[in-house]
Amino acid sequence: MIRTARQFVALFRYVCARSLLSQRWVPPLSLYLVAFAALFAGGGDARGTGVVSAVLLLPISAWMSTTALNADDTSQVAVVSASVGSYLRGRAVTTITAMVVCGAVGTLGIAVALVADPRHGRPGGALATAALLAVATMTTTVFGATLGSVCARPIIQRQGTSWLIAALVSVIAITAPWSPFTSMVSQLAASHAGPLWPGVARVVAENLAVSTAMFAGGLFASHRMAS
Amino acid sequence: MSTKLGTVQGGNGSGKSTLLRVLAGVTRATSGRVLMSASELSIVPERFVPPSNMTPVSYLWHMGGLRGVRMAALTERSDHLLDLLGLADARTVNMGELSKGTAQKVAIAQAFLLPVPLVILDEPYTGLDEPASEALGLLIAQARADGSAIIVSEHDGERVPSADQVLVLAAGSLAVVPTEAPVLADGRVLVRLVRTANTRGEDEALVGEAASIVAATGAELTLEVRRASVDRLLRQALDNAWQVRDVREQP
Repeated sequence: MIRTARQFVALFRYVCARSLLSQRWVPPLSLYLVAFAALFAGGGDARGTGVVSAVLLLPISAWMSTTALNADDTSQVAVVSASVGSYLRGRAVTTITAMVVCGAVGTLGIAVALVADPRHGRPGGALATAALLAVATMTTTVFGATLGSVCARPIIQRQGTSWLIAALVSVIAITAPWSPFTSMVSQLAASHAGPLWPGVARVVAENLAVSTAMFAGGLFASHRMAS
Repeated sequence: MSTKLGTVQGGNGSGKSTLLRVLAGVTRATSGRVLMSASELSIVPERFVPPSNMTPVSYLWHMGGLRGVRMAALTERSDHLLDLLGLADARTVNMGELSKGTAQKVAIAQAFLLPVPLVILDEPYTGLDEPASEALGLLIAQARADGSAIIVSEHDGERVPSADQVLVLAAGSLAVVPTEAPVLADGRVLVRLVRTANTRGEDEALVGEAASIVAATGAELTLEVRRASVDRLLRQALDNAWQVRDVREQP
């Protein structure tokens, strides 16, 4: 158990080092920074800024996840898989790493949104707003990173196709009227009155179910397709 | 495997790397299954492409971490391996700039960072200079002494003559070549082949200076072959869709 935890941390460190040293995470993180700054300059309360930041993180986390999974050549994937004891474990932890890093960036965004808001998230209280935004960020980050893992090699070999599919699914997830994310955004951004948690809980449950199915399916498919 | 050192031999595209990747758990087998647990093994893949923007030292540090090696032990071991494989001058060079042979040395170093039950080496001698080849031989011997089983793939058996078991792979079929018992007094071996529906060519196509037909009954063909030529004959037979019944000493 301790060895597995140590291996998890080591793989997390390796994926971060690979992605940061190769600067592959610089474009998505820069894009998030610029978009967040534009949102911030546009004014608005913490909840509005925070929820749009969370939505932005959906395609960003998909990008980061795909990039992290595509960073290594198949020969290095073999070395890492052998080292951590399983191909599936290596792929899962790589996806989770992108998820965690993206979540950390989103958390920073929430903090900035709360501090910069003159009313610090009121009405409703700073803590409640922070909690709602954290859940929103977690929801979009999990879905985005999972989407990225399905769009990465070996499931989708060509980078352009991979980007196109990730972008299209992100746009549909954000804009389709039946999408749980659309529902979440409209509830969080517009309503300052009434109980929000039941609606948010439903969105989180739906998202986790879809993400888990997509993640498991992606892992299975990638192992079948790995050459 | 019950033996300590096995080789998988075969021509280009015969499936050696695929077999080893299946054993390592990286690729799923389309049929059959791997009985051995893949939880503790190391691999030197064919055509190793090192991660760029990392130095050999930091790479070994990361790979050791993935195997749960502690920092102090890791530093000592990686220093030893880098020196042994002649990588002392390349310790802090960006791995993206390494030559093929030097990158291969790094791949070998990561595979021997700590003792594991199984070490898989996929054409490990490719691109290695003579001193590094000798160092690899030493590492294999040390790993065997530590109790590791080693599987090496190569085109012929020249680099690993002391293998306990030789597997020859051709046209999707695998034949086991016993290395001791079946050798006749004059260094010749009996090989029994069976013609299948897909077998190409006449019986005589397999006969040359190194092999002669002992018996041909029905679909079965028994050949007497020089020991040194068994691997080549089996590859030729498997390539032409013969089924290898056995390779043994004359009764």
